[in-house]
Amino acid sequence: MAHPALTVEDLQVSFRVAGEEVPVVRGVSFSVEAGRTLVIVGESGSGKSVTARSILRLHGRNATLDGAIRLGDTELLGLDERRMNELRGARVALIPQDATGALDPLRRVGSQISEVLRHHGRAPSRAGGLAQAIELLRRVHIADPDRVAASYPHQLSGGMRQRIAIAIAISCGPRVLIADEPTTALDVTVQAQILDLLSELQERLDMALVMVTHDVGVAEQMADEVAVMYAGRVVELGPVDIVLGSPAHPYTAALLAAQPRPDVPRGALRPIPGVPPLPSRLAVGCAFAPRCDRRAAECDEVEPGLERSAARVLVACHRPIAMERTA
Amino acid sequence: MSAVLEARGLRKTFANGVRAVDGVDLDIHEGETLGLVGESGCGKSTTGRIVLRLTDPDAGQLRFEGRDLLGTRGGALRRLRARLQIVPQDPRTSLNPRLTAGEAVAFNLRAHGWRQPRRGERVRELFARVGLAPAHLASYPHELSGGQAQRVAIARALATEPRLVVCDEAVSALDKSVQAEVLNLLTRIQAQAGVSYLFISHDLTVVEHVADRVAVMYLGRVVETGPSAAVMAEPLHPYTQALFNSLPGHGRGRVHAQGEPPSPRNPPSGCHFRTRCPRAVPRCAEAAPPLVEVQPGHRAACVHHPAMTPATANGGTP
Amino acid sequence: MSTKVSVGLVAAVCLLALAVPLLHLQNPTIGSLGQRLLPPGSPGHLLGTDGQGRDLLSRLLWGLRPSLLSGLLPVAVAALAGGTLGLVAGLTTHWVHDVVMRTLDVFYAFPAVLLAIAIAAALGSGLSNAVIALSIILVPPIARVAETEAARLRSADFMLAARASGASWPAIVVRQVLPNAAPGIVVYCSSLIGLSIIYAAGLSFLGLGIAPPAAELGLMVNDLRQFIFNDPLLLLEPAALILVVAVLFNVAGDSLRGLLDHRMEVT
Repeated sequence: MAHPALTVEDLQVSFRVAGEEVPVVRGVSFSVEAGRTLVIVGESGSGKSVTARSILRLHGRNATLDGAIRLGDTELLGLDERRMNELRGARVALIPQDATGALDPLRRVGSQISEVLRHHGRAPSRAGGLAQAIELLRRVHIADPDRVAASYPHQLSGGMRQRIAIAIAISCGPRVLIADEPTTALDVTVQAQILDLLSELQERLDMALVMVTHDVGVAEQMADEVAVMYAGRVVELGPVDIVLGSPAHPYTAALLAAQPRPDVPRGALRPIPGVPPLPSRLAVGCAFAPRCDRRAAECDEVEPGLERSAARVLVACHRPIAMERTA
Repeated sequence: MSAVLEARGLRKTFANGVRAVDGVDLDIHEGETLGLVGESGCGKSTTGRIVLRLTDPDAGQLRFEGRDLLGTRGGALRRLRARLQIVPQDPRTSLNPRLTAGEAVAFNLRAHGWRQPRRGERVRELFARVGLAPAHLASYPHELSGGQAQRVAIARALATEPRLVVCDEAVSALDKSVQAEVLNLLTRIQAQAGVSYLFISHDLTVVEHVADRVAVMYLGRVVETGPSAAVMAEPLHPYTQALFNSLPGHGRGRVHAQGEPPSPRNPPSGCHFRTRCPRAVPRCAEAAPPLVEVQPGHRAACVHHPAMTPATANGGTP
Repeated sequence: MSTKVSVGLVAAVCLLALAVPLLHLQNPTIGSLGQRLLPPGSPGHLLGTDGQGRDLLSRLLWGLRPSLLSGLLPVAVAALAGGTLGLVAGLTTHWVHDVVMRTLDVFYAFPAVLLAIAIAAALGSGLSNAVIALSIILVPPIARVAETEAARLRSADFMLAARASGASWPAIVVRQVLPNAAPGIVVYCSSLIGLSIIYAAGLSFLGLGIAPPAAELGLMVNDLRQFIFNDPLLLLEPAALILVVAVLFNVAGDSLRGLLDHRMEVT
């Protein structure tokens, strides 16, 4: 059997802050096949963005990474920076949260795309690079790509800039695409267009897509599989309709219950009591226990491992919610 | 039900040529929540600021508690502000970083002549009402979580017994689980105190949940308004439909907004939405369709939805 | 140099200047011609004497007083005036802002030193006129800094809430704006003290400050400059003192800024 496009095994990331080692990602594992989408859902502080960026090894010197990250059969964590740079953009690419920060404000768009192509040896010359850039802009459904290629980023709208970021990301035909909250900064109508675009491109280019988001609705729409993260770990992982339809982990259930829905009467939204723990102050046992309504004695003593619960779902919980069985 | 706030024909164009508000009418009744929803650049925040008299409109009328709000100035305006408050968006910046939570709330009370010891008692009482521990009276904003900071902002807004509170994206910067807490709190306070909310948000799901009535804005104009349940169940205006269909995971209907929003400096003639509307016809470019009552209480500004006549009002066909 | 040390040294210098009348120093303005130009280390005159036989140690210490005054007072006055102007300009967006800032720009267009000289010359010599001249030239840069701070704060969400609270503008400025703007302004002003001391010395050097036979550091430099070839050490004394005091204030101001930056980062 061929290797999955992306495999992450027991990833651990900690940052050195003020002399302390703070564990932000504490043993995350998942794999994504070509043509499939994994959506990582979590709130702020869950470690989801750090996980995504670790795949491209984008952290600074104060970060320590452990575990294994494999692109196909290439192990990434041991590679030297030069070799990693060759892979970045070419075999694994990132769509950042805010395209505005990702684009150079002082250079025209076409020139920026062309630079990426030439860096990875996909274009022999400036002219060739520019021509390919225009073709890429067409691929991401930008009408009038010649004008856009000749424009500066600040002359374009947020949605347009995000499309350009996507164009850059797919320019060298990566096997794996990481999208870090790609629509959070966009209006809802533009968001819909961008998500449609990502789905289309993924299918056309047969890429593995890993998307990070805090929006459960985005997961519902885009995911084949969902990984729910809390306090630096994956607490539930499985096919989207099962995880979001019949959540096994109390946190997943609580997160879904907190979403405002038309059928919930006013004043009766179900917030999750308490606050997420600080990564530097994690206690023994399950990180969610203090806020969990299914808490038992063992939850405070032993941190649950990620185990198979039902057919294709992995849960990290001592007392997972049993799936409703239709009579 | 008397109207706490009435706005007619509000217009505001900024110095850089942006036509932020282009003829907006609003009504907010006692004890109700009007949701003002739209995407960035639609003018909802500017409308909120006009209502609060933090920005002055170029044209239009504004009545608050039956009085002409635009004509009120100076000391009278300041006194009136006690009853017209704001909860801003970002919990990080909605509180002065140099004031403790207690001082931030006390500032509003001081402005209206509250003195010690009543002032201190009132601050404690407000903290209890929004569910904050007394220990937080001495906390600085950076020591508080997003949800706690927003609670302080709410306590501050409630300090002087307002009749209308403008919530300007008040929950947009919070995690969903914290959002739920704050929304519940706002609902509870409304039930206890009868305060009205102008709830401004780009998030349809939140507005759907919290608003009694809804006004949808696009490029400076209100395109649809009506009871929340009615607008959500049967959106009339193509833009409202597109908004719904854009919600991730909400089912993908047929109507979508195409292309990019036009520049607010140079909006399309006639109906602003026509350049992106899948149902646009030549007539749309001629004149801006007026907001007319299509069904009782439910208005839309679209040539495809004519005003109801007595015949249609009773369910018959025209 | 740590904050404590530098601020401590500055405080020590100020205390010394204050304590001068209590020390039993020799007469700084009247000297004995028989004792002219004695080198440093001469008996009875630790730092030597000047061209009129006046004890230099005494003149230096007495001269420290007007020098420090012309360093601190103009900055204090300009901080009040410039700070107010800048805050008001920064918080408004309409014509008041433009009028204030453009007027300040006119002053800014002149090189500060020349402007100070021109104003002092127009007003006449004397310590108070020098202080006035220095205050005037320090107002534009302080107003700029204050305006920047206020403009930064004007668009903050909490300012919206403050305006919506119904509080009067003075209450808003004093209780909401000032606590945020003051640290930046204060730190900037502390860096101007050293500059003001040097400018004041320059004015006196040119005969535009305090008049002889009073002791003042810039005046002393002017007196002793004619003896530069034969008795250079004597000239070095007031010059070095000016330098040291100015640098001390600068260093203290820098460490103050470091302290405040750290605090603001934490907040």
